[in-house]
Amino acid sequence: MIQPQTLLNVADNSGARKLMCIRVIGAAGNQRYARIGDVIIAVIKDAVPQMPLERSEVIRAVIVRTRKEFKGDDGIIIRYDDNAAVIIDQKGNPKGTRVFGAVAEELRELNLTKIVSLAPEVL
Amino acid sequence: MLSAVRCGALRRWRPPPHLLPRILSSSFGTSPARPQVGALLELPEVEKVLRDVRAGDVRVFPVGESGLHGGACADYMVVATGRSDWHVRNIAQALLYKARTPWISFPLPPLERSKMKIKQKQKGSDRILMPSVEGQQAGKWVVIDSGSIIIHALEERAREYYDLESIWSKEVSPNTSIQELETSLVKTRRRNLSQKPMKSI
Repeated sequence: MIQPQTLLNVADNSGARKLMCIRVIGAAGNQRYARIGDVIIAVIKDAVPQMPLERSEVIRAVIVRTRKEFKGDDGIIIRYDDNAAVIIDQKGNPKGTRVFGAVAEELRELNLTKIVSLAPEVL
Repeated sequence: MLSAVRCGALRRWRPPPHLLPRILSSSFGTSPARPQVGALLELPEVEKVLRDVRAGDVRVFPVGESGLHGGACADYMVVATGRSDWHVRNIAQALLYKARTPWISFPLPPLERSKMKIKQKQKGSDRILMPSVEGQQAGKWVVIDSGSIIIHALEERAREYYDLESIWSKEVSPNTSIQELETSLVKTRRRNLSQKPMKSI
């Protein structure tokens, strides 16, 4: 359940450390919270020095882990310890070259195969 | 270690992926037992198409049962390089065309072929069973997810940037079994504990 003002960790090596969600894409109607696989617009609140991304930059990110439990089609419920996102550009290419931590298999069905193939572990 | 245990539990729950051909969300509802007419791509087919469209530096990584992602993802990863965005997009188009028209690879007698076409028309769900494509507009990195095979077509600079080979070639060898993984993790934890007081002093 990611909504504006939620702080997220960054699960890639793009150089950002903390994000704050400022908008959930596609949240015009009933949908108010972002789940795993949703794209959000976020602000970088904290970044590693001497990296291309800087603090207070507005970027797009895909949510890969949420503390709110996520139920897949096969009935398995996954709940992670943190809220984490991977930074992407407008065209959907990931900004970093590696994704850290486990990501859900369902991302592949949501047309995010690039992130899944960069991840070290798929649940 | 907890994640490893959890992963192991998950794997025990699921049927092995090579027995159950993975069905993508677009094709949900088709039974895997049914003979798939316009089905997903095979590895030799993919290699042939990539050779035909002159994709450079094609490499195949078996990331199956013992490999990366614990076999949850796919059996094979294929990486190919295109000279430009346009070329990358065309590699993807060629593969999709191949998936759409399987009878081109093995010419059948006309009667048989017409039967096949009719069959396809009748069973609408079979026609939907297509590899999913990602990044077609951008063209820098196009991924074709064909169930057990995932094909990555990258532009030269993008391939250098992402360096996909190093992920898969590095991680194919370890984590052959969950037990081995657990013992290795325990070892590292012990080592860390012994180092901590040293640092504090």
